Amino acid sequence: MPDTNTVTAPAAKLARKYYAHFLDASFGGSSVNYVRLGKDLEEYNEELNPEVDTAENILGEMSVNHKGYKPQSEVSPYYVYEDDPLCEKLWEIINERKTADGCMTTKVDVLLDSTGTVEWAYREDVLVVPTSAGGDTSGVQIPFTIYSVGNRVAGSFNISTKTFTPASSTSSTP
Amino acid sequence: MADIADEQQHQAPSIDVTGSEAVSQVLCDLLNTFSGLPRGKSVQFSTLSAKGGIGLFPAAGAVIQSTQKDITGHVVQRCIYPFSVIYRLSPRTDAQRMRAKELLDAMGLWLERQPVVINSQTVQLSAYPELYSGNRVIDSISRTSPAFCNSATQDGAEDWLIAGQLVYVNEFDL
Repeated sequence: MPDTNTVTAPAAKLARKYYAHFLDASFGGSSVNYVRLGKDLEEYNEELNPEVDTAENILGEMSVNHKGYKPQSEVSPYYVYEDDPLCEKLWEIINERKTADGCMTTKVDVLLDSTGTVEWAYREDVLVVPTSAGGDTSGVQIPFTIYSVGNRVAGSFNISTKTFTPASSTSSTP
Repeated sequence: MADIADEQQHQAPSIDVTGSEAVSQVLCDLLNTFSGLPRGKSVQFSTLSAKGGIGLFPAAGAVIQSTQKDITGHVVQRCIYPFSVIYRLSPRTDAQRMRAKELLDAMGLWLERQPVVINSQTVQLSAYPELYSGNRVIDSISRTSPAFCNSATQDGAEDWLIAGQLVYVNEFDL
């Protein structure tokens, strides 16, 4: 007979802080410098924008053609802080009106468990495009959009040193 | 659904007890640096003698007005500390009453960091003091009333009062 007095505690939701996002503020510089996104951000979503075509034939059969995704995300608001390396790069993009390669960098998405241990990490090439500069009296703001370019690789991420190591990174001597 | 909305509307406000204690001490010390205080008088905390004096009276402790949490788990609380400054005196002439009112109005201007003329000299509070309590920073102090006569006794003592609020920000990580 099952013990009817046993109460199982419901599973806890994972707090939002355990899904972390980092941008390389060096933008392809010699020394990678991942900074965490999220200060002042109450919400951040990577919109996957899936491309799905559905069709029905004369037999009533549905076919679904899933072509892929066009991920992008908005970082808004993004307040300018002194000595923030990402802000310095955004100012550079804005002031020099940089495009294409001038806006390319990498983003790392990391999922941690409730003990702070990294469960998985993925790095992807992205285009960072500021959408405006200025803002209201609360502070100088540079909201921007992150467009995923591709080359998404799995790996490990050291939260302390903010270092990403690709999973396929094994030394191979010819 | 309406019951839940009503309940949320009538929830007791949260009080930042630690912040209240810090602000009470710092605000009282700040008021005692005001160069417009009558000679020999100092601002007391939550007390006034029957004959006269100046007292700082907090209204309800520091109420947490808003709480914002970002996706990294960083919390920013905006807290309001309402208070009154009461100047008790036994004026014999209208000129003395006017001087009491002008003193409190000048004190209020000074607390707002506006320039104020004291004894033919323009003085202005350059910065708010530190709170030395966690990550709490004073954002503003403002008047919520002009100086007015709050009460008068039969033996001629009058309480002139000015009301204000101190707003500070408290930040911490969850």
